[in-house]
Amino acid sequence: MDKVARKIAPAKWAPRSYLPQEAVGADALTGCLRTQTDALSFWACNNDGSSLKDVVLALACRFERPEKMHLVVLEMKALLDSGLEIEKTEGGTIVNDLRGRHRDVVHLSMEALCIIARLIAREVRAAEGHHVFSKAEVLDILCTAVKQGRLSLDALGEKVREGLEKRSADPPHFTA
Amino acid sequence: MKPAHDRRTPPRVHPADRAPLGSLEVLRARLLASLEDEPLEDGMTHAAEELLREAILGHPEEAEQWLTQIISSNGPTTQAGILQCLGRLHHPEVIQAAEEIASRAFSSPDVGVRESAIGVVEQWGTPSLIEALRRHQEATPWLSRYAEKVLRDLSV
Repeated sequence: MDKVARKIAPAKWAPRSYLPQEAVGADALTGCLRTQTDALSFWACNNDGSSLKDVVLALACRFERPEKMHLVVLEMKALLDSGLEIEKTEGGTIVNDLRGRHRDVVHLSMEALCIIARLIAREVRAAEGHHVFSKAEVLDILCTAVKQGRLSLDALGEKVREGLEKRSADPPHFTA
Repeated sequence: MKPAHDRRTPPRVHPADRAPLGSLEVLRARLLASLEDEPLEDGMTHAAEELLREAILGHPEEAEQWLTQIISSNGPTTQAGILQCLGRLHHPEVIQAAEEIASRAFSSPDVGVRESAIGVVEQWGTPSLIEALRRHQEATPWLSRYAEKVLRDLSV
């Protein structure tokens, strides 16, 4: 897997009328790039639909309520070429087979975080590395994982379980 | 000689602290503070939801005007946050108070406000909001893709 993905709020990455066109607004960094121990969490993936759905699954199983999800996908090489360090770490997901897919970009300084911010802004603004999953798509991904035995229904939040019950009456039509 | 504490400036009291607990004035202050304190995240519950629920269910007749006033006097980040939280509340009183507000948000110049308005349609799926979204011409490509998915999902 040569890419990493992370959940974002794309509106925060839009150009601002009061900033130069290429500038990234501060809200993007403070809202979307929260670090812990100077590390930023990502999930390894390819750019194909199945791999991205796994990232959605790893993240959405922690949801407290069913909702849409935006992912940004970055090339690992672009991060490494920028001098950033990537470590394989255990991911905080209840899907056992996805824990090994977690990656941390570690030892981050403010300057390093700005490098990541510029890479994300480029992908979101070019719309190439940005993928949106609707609420129904997120529920379909969770539903499939439950049926496959990758995830226990009881492990999900109450509102997510309610969403899955409602959704089960409708046929999934996920095509992305 | 007067005691030292008599010469002190009285502590500043926020207007919300003088109003009775549960009043719309208090709830407005707590709502804005909660949105400032903690960023909203997709899929995660936010303290603002409970404050909005309390305000609207506790004051149904004043709720729409209260919401309109807060939204019109705050910036796009707060507007988007309030809309996203409203979409998470499925009470008929909330939908009645905020459906028109969400519909008007499609014309916002801010992409985040428009995204939250589409999110409200996705959550509530009311006929009038679906129709408003169908009429909306979204220029931002990623948001247009999201809107198309929402309309597709709701057409089942």
